[in-house]
Amino acid sequence: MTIRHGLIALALLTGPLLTLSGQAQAYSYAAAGKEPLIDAREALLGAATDGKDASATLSEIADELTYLEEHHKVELQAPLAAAIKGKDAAATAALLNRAYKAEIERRLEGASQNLGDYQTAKVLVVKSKRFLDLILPSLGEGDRKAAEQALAKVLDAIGNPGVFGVGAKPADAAAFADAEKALMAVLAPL
Amino acid sequence: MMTAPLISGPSPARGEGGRHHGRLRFANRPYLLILLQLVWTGWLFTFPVALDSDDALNFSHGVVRFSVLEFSPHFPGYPAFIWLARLINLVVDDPAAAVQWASLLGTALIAPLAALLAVRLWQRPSLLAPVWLLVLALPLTPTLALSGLSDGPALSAWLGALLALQHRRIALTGLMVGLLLALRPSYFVLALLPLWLGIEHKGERRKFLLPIALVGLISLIFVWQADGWAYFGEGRRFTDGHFTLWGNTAAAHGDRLLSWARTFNAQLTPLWPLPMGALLVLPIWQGVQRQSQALSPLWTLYWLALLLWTLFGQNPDNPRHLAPVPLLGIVLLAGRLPLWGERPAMLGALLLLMSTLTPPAAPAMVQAARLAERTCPALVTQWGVRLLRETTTLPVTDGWYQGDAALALTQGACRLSRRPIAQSEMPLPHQAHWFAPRFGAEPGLWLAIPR
Repeated sequence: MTIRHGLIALALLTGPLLTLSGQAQAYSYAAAGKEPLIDAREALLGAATDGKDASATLSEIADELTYLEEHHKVELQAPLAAAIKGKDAAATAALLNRAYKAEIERRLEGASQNLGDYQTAKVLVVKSKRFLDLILPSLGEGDRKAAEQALAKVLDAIGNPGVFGVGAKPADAAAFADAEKALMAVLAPL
Repeated sequence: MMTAPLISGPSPARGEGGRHHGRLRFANRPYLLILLQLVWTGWLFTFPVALDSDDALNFSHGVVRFSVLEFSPHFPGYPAFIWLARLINLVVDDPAAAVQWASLLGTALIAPLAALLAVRLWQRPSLLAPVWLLVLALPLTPTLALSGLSDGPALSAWLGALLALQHRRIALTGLMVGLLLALRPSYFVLALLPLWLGIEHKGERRKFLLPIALVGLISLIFVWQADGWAYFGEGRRFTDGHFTLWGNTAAAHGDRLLSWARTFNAQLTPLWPLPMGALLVLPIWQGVQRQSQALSPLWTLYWLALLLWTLFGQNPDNPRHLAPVPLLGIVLLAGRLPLWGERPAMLGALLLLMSTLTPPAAPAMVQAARLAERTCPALVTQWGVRLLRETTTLPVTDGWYQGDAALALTQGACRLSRRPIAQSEMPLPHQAHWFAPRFGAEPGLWLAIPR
């Protein structure tokens, strides 16, 4: 009976522990799940196609867009509002892709500054991949392959801490910078 | 004292008694079954290596570079399946083949293990052939074998655990349960009965729990070395998504139970309420007939728990998710088969098996992809997005994002779907092509090409 009770207690204790601990350790704005610009894509494109009111969605992502406009030299909010008003779905998608390009730039910069912390760097690069996946269909075939390869090289460049040091691979800042540059070059026309 | 013979018409070569009382002498019957099993497995090996789902593709990525954050494979990582595939990859040096054959080899064990379990549970050696043949004949079995997924090997581990328990091999049971959880963690409901019964063996609990703990620890270290703490964050995100977004479970959509009813109809014929009803009343049925070998009602309860978990926690669009339900159902109902019914059951199963045989062909997904590459400028799909992006040169839009999908369709993209596509669903007039599945449990695909 004691072992059975112990198992139940273990399950009850570790359950909440496992679910809560991830959040405490993950990088602040790379928190599991929520990406405002990805979550808003559907609503914005729907508004552009059907003429629905997108002001609520736009105000939700205003902070993100403002940050990108200030730090990554893109014009987003005004053209987006205009495209949605003009029911131009293609232009809305193109502008969102431009925003995602800026997000990729932002996350990769964050990753390169955190190459010493594997967890953080990994989460940031994986976040960029989520944005890249949405941009891919709008790229040409050659560009698509080049972008995917560049991101794979970025992932590789982060290295790996191994298990208690066994099988560890250090982060390669030079390779990271090269791959990042290659990726941004492919995305430049957006 | 003469006891009633345990097999009807015992062969004169049954021996002078001893421990086995001639139970193991079947006049070469097991050898024929083994031969059939080898031929069946060989037939499946002749099918081309072709992954037909994103999940299988994720596994093949995991063979080369394991990371749950990178979706290679997706959460929870299925460490034991990756180990198995990597082992095979050492020989074949082709991740896609390694994954497909890992799945095949694991699934090939299901029929013999289920048959041995039925024999042991009901103490009726003559059940070996009917159960073995019936499980081989289920359209689910070749589907699982060629899917490149861990369902087949996990089901084998599960049946192995139940069988080891019957043979009182407690440490082996523990190992099988550990492997079951490491092969497909969402099968934790299947682990409940072996866990419960294993812990009942008071003197041997440590021997039972140690292998489970060891496998668990090794799995944890394996996923940790790739992703660390972020693994648990990704787990939370993925589990949320499974239950509320893409997992299609009844927890999110009430009418998914209807979807399940449709799936049961398609997979188990519209007669499925009959055997299910029989299983539910099994404890009472056994009591009424006062069978010499009756199963504890715990088994029926267990089967019911499996059914409820499948209905409410699994995606009804994938028939493979219901596999544990008919497998355990066959094993439990086998004992009700009257002695005179065994031979007709064998013949019926053989006929059913013959009807599932098809010449080796590529799966519907691969055929559809080949046509799409030739005739489409772009593709919109909810199935196999990553697979199509990596194996074709097409720009593939994820159909989950309806705004993007609508945009791509107005620009002339083709549409791939598991459901027939009405003319009204696409902005441009289109022609629909149907790609038939190879087996009953595989999904077929519709490809709509704008004219």
